[in-house]
Amino acid sequence: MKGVRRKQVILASLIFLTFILIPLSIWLGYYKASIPEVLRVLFMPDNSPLSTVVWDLRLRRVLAAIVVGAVLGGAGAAVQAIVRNPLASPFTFGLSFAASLGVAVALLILHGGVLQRYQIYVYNPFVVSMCAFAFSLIQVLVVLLLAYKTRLSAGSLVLSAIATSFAYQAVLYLLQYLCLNEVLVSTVVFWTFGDLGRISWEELRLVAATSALLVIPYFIYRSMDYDLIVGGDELAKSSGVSPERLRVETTVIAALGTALATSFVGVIGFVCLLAPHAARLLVGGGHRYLMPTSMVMGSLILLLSDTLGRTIISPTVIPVGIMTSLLGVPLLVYLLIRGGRFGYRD
Amino acid sequence: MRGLTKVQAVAIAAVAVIAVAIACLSLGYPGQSQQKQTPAGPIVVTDVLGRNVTLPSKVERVVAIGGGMLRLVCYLNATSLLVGVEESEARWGFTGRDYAMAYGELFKGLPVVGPGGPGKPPAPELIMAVKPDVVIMSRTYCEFYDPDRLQREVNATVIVIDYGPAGWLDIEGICNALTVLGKVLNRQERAQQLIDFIKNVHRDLSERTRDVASRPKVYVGAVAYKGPQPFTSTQSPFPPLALLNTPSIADKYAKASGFVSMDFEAIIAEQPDVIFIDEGNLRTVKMDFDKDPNKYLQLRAFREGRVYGTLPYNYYHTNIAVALADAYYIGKVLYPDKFKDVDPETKADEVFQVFLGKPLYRAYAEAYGGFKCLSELFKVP
Amino acid sequence: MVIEIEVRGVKVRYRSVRALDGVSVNVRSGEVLSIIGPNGAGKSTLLKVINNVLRPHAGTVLIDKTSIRDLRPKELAKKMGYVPQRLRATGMLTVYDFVMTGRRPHVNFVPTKEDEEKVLEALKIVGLSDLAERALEELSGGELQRALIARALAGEPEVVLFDEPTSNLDLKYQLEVLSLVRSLGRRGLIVIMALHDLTQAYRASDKILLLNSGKVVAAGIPEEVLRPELLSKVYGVPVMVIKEHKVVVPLF
Repeated sequence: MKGVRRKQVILASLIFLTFILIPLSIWLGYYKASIPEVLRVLFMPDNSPLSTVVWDLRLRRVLAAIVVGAVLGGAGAAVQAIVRNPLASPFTFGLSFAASLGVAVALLILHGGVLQRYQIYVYNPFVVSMCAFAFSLIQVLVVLLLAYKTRLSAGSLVLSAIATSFAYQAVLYLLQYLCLNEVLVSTVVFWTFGDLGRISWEELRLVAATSALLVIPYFIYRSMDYDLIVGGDELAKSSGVSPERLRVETTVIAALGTALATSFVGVIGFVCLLAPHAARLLVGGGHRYLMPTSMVMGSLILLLSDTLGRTIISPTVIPVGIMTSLLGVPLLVYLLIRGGRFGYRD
Repeated sequence: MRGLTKVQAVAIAAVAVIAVAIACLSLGYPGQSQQKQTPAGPIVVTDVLGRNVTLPSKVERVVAIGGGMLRLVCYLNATSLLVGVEESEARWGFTGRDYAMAYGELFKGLPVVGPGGPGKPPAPELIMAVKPDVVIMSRTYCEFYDPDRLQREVNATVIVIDYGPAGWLDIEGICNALTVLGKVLNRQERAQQLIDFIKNVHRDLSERTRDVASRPKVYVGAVAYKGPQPFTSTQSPFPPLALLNTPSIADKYAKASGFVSMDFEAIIAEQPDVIFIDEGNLRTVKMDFDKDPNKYLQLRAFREGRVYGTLPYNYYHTNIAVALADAYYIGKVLYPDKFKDVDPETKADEVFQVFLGKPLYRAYAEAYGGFKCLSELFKVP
Repeated sequence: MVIEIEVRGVKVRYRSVRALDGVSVNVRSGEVLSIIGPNGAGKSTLLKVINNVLRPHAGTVLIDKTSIRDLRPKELAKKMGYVPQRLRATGMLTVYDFVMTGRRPHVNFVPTKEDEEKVLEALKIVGLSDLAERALEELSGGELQRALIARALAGEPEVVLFDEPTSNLDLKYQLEVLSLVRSLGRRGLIVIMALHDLTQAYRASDKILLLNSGKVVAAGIPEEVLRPELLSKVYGVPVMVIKEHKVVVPLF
């Protein structure tokens, strides 16, 4: 069918574009090298500076951008479907506040007496990440529990998400104002700034494994169910799909993927809004193509942002979170104006 | 009551608006001068905002609020005049603020006059409670609290001081601030003593490093700025290096002077000969090194062990004494033949002695590591 | 295959209101049953119970002698198609994708050729083949309703449930939908409709169930149920029934 062919072409083109961007990103950077040199070092890594730059400083970021971008894009599309709102994202559940709170707690409670000193003795960066992750999960569970009390409909999920994020935000600010001195506050702030360079190879492996084995396959598998639930809970039930179960599973898995990535690279906003929106305009709302397109779009946006942030005012680095906002805001405004109604009919 | 009619509602609203307007007008707008009750003294100083401040005849009760203000009071040996301190001065650990390490116990015994810390506005009621003659206010507070208003509210002379942006060594600014404060606190001789010392140091460092055959490439990493920073954060120009007429590799890339976040690749590409790390953020760097040693080992300086630690000096405004001490240490490392006669630790204590009357190097070294080579920390097991 | 749906003594309580109070009715393959009654009589509720969307507090629904509760949701979905009154959102889906969701009970991972064919067939039956690539937002009221029907049909159900299929439609489309409904009956499906319009019920149904406040007032062939005295009592308005034209008219 003609329409399907068009969608396939678009998806393939986006994937192709990403594949082109990968070697470009690996080649671009302050440390100048020719393409053959870069290729040699890619296939035969050694101990030379170029090899370290290409592998540890560039390739790792590129892979992180692709994985995290795909997770954010997919989670964005999934969450938007289950709450029937194109402005929703995993961060609507207050994940970024919860993660920040986790960092604040890690700094405060786990390293209690150290508060008095100027230096922040973080004994183990992994601990901070795991705290952020744990708090994000707690946040999601609280949201779900609250929504469960009110029938787990789309509306109740959104409301409980908003309520609990405000609560987390309030606690976070209270903590910052009362207990943390300026040094700790900036640590929390600094940490929440997304930075793809922060992730280590082990952490990247963890995120990639979780995404490839759980998060991404789940979203793809449930594509048709997302189409269903957009039409209404009754519609879904009449086709044998439990809307409550879909919501719970999606929320947990989206939160898991997003929280895991966020705990290692910090908060990167906009991608989970931008990617599904752009994808929807390109391939329509059918999740069979929307989901993978949203994921590829997420990878593309993140990769582009990170590469631009690294190269535009080299050697100063603009954090990727700022780049996504800079790119994202005008793009989002353009998309909103140009149209693509989600089609509310209530 | 059945409810207001339209006319009643409008009338009440009008009365409310007029009442609020009267209240605002009576509070007065800035510029309206108000007679103070203190007897006019003969001394007038111009503060850093250009305000002409008339000092009271006797200045015996002093409060200093905002970053760096209490430090200057301590430098000028005027701590006996203090009648109150900000809570942060007593609550935050003393380590890292040179004046607190010298006089911290004194602070603990004084009443609290406000929260203290960047972004926290002064508390007029608390300040008023200690009945100061003069309030020394940092310029950073003026952004969100008008000094003239504070002056009226606490019924004391408020003088606004600053000695350059936090983290920098603005020699002229420092000297001006000391001069003005010296007049205010009746410590003119002491102020002059400090100014002379600072100018001597400036001249000494400049002369030693003027005719140097070749300057090594230097990078200063993890420079403190609003909290912990990673290795890729640096400052351009780095003030102690500037005193030594030496650029850092960041200088040619920083579009404007300030705190800069460098691309690690750029550091690798530049291959600095010597690297200094702000010991305030040493842990952050060490952690990153443990997680990701490869990229650090691509730096020749790390492989050859030419990595050294400097004492952090940016904490609630620049610790001038520490910054000067750092300059001597860095000079010794970079130009050993020009600094043959200098032992950095002894020199540091000399500086501390002049500024604060106490040798503080040992305490600093215990807290942060002190002037030393850090190569042992950055070895891969 | 001839099957029968048996509703036995279904009671549904909603807060303190008895939405359905002991409703029983039977429908067989090839029959079109209309559920009529004033607002709040329990029409939609009954549909939801039959569809297993709502659980009754008492009573059962049997399909082909099996309780619907004993069937796995996917199994039940294969047998029953549901056409809701409206959609919550349309999400920029194409007609094709939307109708494909009706195949969900049959699809395991990815739609197969067979699924594709069934969708195209369903589209043909409702006459939407040309609009398959359009987004739902671009459809008219009648077209959207037909898409909803196609979606229900794509699942190859033995029973189709309609919740007020003609409420939002222009006259012309109302007639189209009703004739579609009748053709479904002729194909051998069980059709159960909740309807507002009494004339439409008269014309399209083989059986009518008249509800009022959750109770069955009358059940049977249209002539038996659509009696002026009965209708006037239930609707509170004098009513005239013209048998020759199969019309029910309220008298002002």
